[in-house]
Amino acid sequence: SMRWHHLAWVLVGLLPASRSVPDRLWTADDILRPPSTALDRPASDPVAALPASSLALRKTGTTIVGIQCKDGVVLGADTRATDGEVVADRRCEKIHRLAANLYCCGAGTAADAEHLTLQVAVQLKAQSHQQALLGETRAAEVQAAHGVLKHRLLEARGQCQCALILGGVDAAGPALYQLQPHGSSERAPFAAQGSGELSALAMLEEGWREDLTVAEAATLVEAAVRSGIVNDLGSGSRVDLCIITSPETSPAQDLSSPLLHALPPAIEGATTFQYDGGLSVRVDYIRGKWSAESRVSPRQAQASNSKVDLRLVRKIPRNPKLAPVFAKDSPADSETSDGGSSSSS
Amino acid sequence: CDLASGMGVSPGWRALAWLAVVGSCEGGGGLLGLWQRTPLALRGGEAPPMYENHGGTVVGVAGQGFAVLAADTRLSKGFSILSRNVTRIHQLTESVYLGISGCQADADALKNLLDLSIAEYTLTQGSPPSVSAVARLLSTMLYQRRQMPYYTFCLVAGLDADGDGSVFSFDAIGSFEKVSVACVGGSQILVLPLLDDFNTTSDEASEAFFQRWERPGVSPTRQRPKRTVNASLEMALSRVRNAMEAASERDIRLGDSLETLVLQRSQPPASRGERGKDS
Repeated sequence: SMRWHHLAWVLVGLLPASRSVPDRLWTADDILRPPSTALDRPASDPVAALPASSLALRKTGTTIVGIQCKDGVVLGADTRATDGEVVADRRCEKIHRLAANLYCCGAGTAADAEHLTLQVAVQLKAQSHQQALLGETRAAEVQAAHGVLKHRLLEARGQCQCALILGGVDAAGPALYQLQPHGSSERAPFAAQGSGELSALAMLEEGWREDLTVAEAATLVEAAVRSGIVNDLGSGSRVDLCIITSPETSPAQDLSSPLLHALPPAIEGATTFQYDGGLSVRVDYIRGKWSAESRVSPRQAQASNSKVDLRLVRKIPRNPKLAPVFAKDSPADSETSDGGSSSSS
Repeated sequence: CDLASGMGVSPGWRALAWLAVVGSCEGGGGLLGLWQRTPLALRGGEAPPMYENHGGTVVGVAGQGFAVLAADTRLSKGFSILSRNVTRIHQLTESVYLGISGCQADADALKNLLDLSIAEYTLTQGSPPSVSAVARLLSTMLYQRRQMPYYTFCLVAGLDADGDGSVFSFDAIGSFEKVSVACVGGSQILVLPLLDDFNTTSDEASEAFFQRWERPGVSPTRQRPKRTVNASLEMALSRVRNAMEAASERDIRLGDSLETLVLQRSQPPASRGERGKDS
């Protein structure tokens, strides 16, 4: 008849084979992302079972950058939206407007970033309406927007997959905050997010100083975003910049410095807002323009198709394994090839 | 059984008890499910992936008296760029070239094995293999690895005995077809529709098509498919270049340089590189 120690043998037989016992049995990954092994894949079609890029590591392609100076804040972003490996939008806007003096770059899932920033912008607008009813027109506070965004991200428990870089100038001065998808945040002098963040951070770490002027910070931000565009496949197209300054603290000459106007894009609009207490905030929203050497359409190229030049530009490397087999030298060895009469059989 | 007799019960009791406990667990009592249900930490972690896709797109056009093989030169892994100047076009014989995209390690291994096979063929037969022979050889080699395929997408291009172009496109396990225009690789789905201009029929050809269509009992497509394009070399080159340039706007894996190989009847092979976008 069955005894308790018999049941113990049964349970022992059920123990899975283990190589080592870690200090933690279950991790969050096991619950949220069940481990996939070769047993999960259909054995009938090994070609279809070839794995795609690992979803666990992929971030939606973006490079967003922010730098805080003592005179203002500079935000930058690329303009490529990817749907997996295909570019869905070459010219999307990733710098969202929360208030006249507050702008927020969003990386990650595009819908999450857009709707979250839109909802917070509406909430801030409602608050400023209430203040206006009381007779005040105060600038929206960066700290308030940061708190609202942080709380909303935490509420969503990570389902809202977007990382934000929030920057603005209010009565307390310029401020830059960096928010992560699960709701953590930090205030930082410079920040980068997205799939191109490492490329951008490399440029930022090299070029950042404590006493950057706004123009110098704008060139550094543009260089950092451009580095992400070139080195990261998920980022591309153009660089958008948003420069938020307080004209009373930053001299007007700074924004008209040749350093800033040497950037490829043209300044689209500079607006200055006046608030109670004498605070004025100037916002320069610069959208990167297509460069002059942009590609022509295929029709135009075909129309103006010039004679194709077939001169040997790159020599085909001779395959050494074929050397004893093909005894005679082929004309491809010669330095210049005019397509002459010497022909190979 | 020794244990069972030592415990004083028959093995049947143990089996019944085991079945009862396992069967009462949610998710059933499959042995395979048991391994899958152990936490990853106890299993020692996931094995590294067996396959890697390094991107790349290869285009081939076969014409009357010429063959074109074009490939991008970017090697990428995930969201990073490994190289901006890698060649995907390899020479197999005097008039046969191979373009491979996919996993770079598998491509190199396949190319080395193919070189050996072609050298053996040449030594035993006394002459190098033709394009179709190389294509058949490659197909056999790929299918021999049906259970764990080469992660490679190949194009064999060359000039046949008459000097006309031949292009064969492959899939990863050796299915191949002689075509006039082919594209394989990561951007295939973007580039191939742009190359459909080659298949636009002229007025006479479309007229012939509709004549056969109206004839009952005969399928209008039951005609010999075209193996060479009805276009000049310059038109082919410009179409290929424009197609790759347009696709590079929308595919993150396509970019950097475009390497084009031109094979012409009774002319030395010419190759050129064109700088593309870095982003």
